[in-house]
Amino acid sequence: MDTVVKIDKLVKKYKELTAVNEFSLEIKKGEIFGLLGPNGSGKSTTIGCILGLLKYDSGNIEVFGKPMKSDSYDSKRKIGVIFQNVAVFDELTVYDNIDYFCGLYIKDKETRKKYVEDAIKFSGLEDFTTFLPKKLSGGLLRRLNIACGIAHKPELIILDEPTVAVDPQSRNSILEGIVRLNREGATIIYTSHYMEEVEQICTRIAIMDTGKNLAIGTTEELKNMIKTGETITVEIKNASDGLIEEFGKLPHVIKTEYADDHLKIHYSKGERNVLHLVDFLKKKDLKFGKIYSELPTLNDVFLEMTGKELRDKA
Amino acid sequence: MFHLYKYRLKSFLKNREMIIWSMIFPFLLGTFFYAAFHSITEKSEKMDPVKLAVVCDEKGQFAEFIDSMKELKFLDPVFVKDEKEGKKLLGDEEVTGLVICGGSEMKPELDLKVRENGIESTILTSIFDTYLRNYQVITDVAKKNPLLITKTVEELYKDEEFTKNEPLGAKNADPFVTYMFALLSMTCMFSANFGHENTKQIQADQSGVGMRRSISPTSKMAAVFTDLMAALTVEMVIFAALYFYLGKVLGVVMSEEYGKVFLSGFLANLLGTSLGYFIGVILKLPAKTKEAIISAVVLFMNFMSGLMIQNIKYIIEKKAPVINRINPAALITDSFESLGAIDDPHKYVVCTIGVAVWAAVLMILSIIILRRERYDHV
Repeated sequence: MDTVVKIDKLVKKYKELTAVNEFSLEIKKGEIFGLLGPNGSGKSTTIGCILGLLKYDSGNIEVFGKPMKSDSYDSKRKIGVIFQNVAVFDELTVYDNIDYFCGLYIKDKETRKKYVEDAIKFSGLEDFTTFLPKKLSGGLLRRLNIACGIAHKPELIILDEPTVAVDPQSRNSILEGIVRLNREGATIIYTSHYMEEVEQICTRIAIMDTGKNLAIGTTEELKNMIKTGETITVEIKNASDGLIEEFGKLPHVIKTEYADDHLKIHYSKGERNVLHLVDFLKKKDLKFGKIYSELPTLNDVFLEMTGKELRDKA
Repeated sequence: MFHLYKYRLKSFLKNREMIIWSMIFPFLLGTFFYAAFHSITEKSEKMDPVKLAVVCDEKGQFAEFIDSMKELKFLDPVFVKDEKEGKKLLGDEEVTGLVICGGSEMKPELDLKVRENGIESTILTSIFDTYLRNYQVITDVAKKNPLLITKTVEELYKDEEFTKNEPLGAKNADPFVTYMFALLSMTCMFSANFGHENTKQIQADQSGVGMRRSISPTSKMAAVFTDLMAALTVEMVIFAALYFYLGKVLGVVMSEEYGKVFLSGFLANLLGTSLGYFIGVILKLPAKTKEAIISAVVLFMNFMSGLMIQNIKYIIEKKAPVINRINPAALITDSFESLGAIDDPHKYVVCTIGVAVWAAVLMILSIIILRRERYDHV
């Protein structure tokens, strides 16, 4: 697989603050790569460095196999960016905005016209082409922002938190659109602090915090990196401390939590944990209500990983 | 390139706030100047010499003074034999005033009678008061220290001198027209707002649009050029509209050497736009603060070039002429003035070169900063 973006030990400082710290990653062609991290974790700064907009202190960045410079026009032609904030001319209509930004990449008039129409269709803006941006709703404005970023049919599309402050319906539409673009051949870099979104669409994910790359891999790989493999919750009334301690001694159990008649048992790994637990409950002749199992989410992964980081800091 | 120019032009034309301020404001100010000053100028231009009956010794100093006033077309004197004849003329409304010269050679006394109070009687009163005051001063100096007479005479007429326009072949050097040239200069200098707007839309650390354009394969120079041309197109349309409004609608006598006028207007607008670019790229401040700074700088420069108080420019010309040589607004005003009012080709060339140099320096410095490859923040 071809490497589209390669970052090697990137360091970017804002005076005393290190926004990106020894950050490395490699993104392959055809991936939907997620950069996941809370606000201020260094995602947008990393994107700024990839695009050649920001100065950085050390490290190397290659895009399409070449260092990214202000005059890397061949590379720039293949990149499309959808920024967090809507970036369009307020005085131009929907069509004019898309045509203008497409014109920065595509000089041929006929090709551009076709591309602009494709972008309008893709973003579902057919009925709003003569509207000024201020007349559009928040969701439509986001779609215009996306259309401006992808109209020139880029090979690499970078989306920097495109769903911030977007209603659920528009968010779904945006996520579906991203998957469609990927199916059509584009490599995607998607930054977000919404775990569910990243888990939903990304083929690989890097978890960032305080400018560092905490982990990188597929969703499953990331989940396997943390201790918790499965969490089983049992509804059980008036469990004594002694009983809870016995649960804690079961195979693969990392820890137990008991509150509001619900016992949460965290397992590291192991197979058929629910069956073993039910056997244990029967053996003890305990009465129990609901019992259900949850696999870890990226939220669990992130919390466990950043929790460590925060503890280290303290 | 035309594609980028077309849309930039469109975005400027649809920027209502900008167009209204750039266009309506100078038109309103021009109309205001017209209403406020034109009637005064017209009146003073058309004012006939004041008819005056004079009773005095026709060979005396006062008669010489009256003759000099006649030559300057301030007065239209009729020398009469006595007060009775003068009063008859005054009663028959043949003259506006009657002045009787009495007293001695060393201490003349003037008795002024006027038909009615008005602008003409004010002129007469002013003329004779000045005459008596100056006569008294010169006589006193002659008595006490005759060597100081020349200097005293110079001092007495100093004030009068500096309020006069320089007599450079003046064809239309009245204050009203000078205000109009200063207004044209201000309009061109306020093109700085277009320059500043362009810097906002091209720098990645100033706007989302700037970020989009910075990451595109279109070179910065092409973007700067198309933006600049779009801004200059709008500015020149506003300039031409104002020029014709002042000339054809308000009737201000403007130059009809349109080639030179166009060149001056173009360079002046380029200078204004370049100033906006320079402030836009050099200052790391919020856009609103930069807009306020631009307004303050432009208004100050225009104040110094006589937009608010016409005499300022002449005072500066006497006290520190170098300021008028380097103040961009003064250079622009002078270039229009040398075409439209004083017909001085040499001054036109000097001022036009000055404007071009300013524009080039500011634009080159701005482009050097704009061409930077990367930003500290976005």
